[in-house]
Amino acid sequence: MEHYVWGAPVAIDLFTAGLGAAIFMVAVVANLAGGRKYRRISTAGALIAPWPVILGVVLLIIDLGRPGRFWEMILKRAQELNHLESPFIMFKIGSTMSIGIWLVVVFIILSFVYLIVALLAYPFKWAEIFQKVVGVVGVPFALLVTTYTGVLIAASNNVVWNNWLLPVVFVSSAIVAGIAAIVFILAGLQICNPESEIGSDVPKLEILNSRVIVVQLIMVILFIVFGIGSASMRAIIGSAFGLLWWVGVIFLGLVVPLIIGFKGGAKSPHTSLVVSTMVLLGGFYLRYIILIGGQI
Amino acid sequence: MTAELSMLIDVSRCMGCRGCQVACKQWNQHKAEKTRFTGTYQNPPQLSPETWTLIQFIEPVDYDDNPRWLFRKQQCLHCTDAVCAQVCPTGAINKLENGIVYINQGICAGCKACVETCPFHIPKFDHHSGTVRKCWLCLDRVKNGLKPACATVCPTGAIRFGSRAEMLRIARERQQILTNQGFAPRIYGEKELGGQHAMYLLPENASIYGLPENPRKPTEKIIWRWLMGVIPGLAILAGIGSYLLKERSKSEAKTGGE
Repeated sequence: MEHYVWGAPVAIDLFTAGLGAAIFMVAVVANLAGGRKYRRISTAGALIAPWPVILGVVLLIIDLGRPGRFWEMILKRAQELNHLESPFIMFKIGSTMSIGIWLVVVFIILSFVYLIVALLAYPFKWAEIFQKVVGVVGVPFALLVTTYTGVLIAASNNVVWNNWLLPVVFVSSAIVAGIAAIVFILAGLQICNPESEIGSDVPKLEILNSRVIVVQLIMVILFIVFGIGSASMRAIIGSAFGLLWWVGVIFLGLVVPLIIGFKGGAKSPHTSLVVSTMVLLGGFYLRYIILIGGQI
Repeated sequence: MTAELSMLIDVSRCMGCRGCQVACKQWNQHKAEKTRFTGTYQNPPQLSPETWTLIQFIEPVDYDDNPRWLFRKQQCLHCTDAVCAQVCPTGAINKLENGIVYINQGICAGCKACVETCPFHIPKFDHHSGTVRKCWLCLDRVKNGLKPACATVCPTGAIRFGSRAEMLRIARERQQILTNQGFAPRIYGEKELGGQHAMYLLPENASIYGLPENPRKPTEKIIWRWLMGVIPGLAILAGIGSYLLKERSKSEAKTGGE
């Protein structure tokens, strides 16, 4: 069995960290744009945003050669404290991973605060202003966490990853997956409570997602066009991986939801549930194929 | 301030005996590796956590169909502008004053960020120790006034070690001699990545020897990588916001009209 330097745990981490941050951003934008009108979207998003990012951190630690030394990335050792900048805290501006760890730490804290104020704002009108403030504070961190997942592997010696379009591919894919995750939750709740109107925003989100998918598809195509010079990229799209790429990522994960969105959204919550699952799987496969395929 | 040290690998003098490989294994107490014959004397096929230096066997074919046999000692080049040390989130990789880039095995958490950024693909992840390992220019020997193990055994004088200024002087002398013999030699590592502490005297193009002609740090344009995520991300979020606002006013107009 081949050992990849960065394997499946990192692929899942790149996906879930981007996913959670994107869910957060979509929830905040929905809250700012519609207030109580979109509160199903913003509350569902606020409830699920922190967990994928936490899962990502856990996987990042598991992927370390020495998981027990995770704290070396957080705190400085005593003999290093003669450096006066950032006493006790291990932070290196030149290290993408160091920046990412701190972005993720701040994001997780803010997303939990947001979760609490969003829950308070559901029954209490006075908490709405706090929800908006925390949301606006959190969005830059969320966007940087999403971008970080791309920059981490884009600034590398790997010819497939070192593509100037990789960060935008990852960011647009994360937002597509983030909207799909909210669709998944709302459609699932609608199926569990057929009498309620909890899923009433689902078609709107599907139409919205199809517009973002247009951007995502253009970026993915450009990513392939600019990377096709490398043998690894040709191997990715022309091998067994290629089947997963064209069917899993492009067709089921992007083209099918695109068509459904342009037709005005799925007719039943069951369809929405299936399609959003495919979008989420497609988002994961995208990162998995690029990460593993780039190392073959 | 300690003087900057350097190794000089005179590729034109190497005859591929691989004594340096053995010396490295012995001094650093590295295990032998089980390998298979792959049609070349290059063995093991690549650097690993247990193989910090390796003679690369290169067989280019000339215009007149004559194969040539070239050897290059592969190892960490100990860059001044060491990207591995910069991307290390734990601070385990340090660039010492004498120029040696050293991975502290007691701190390295095995995140592999350096493995993915080194432009020469030198650091290797060790599944047994859970850390990343690479050539340390025999820091333990150097601290006690000895030369690195590989430099002591080289029978042709292809591996030299000493102050960086002295090594550069020798390299220039050899460069002159080789130029007179009709080669186009290059001192690789004099200026590359801030100046390296293991320099090559290459009789010809760096790319023939599997080295990048113009090595760059992958993190050089990192600010653009960030902007390529943040700016499109903001644009997409703005699009989402405007769509949701439009939908809201549409539905409000509808309920207002009824």
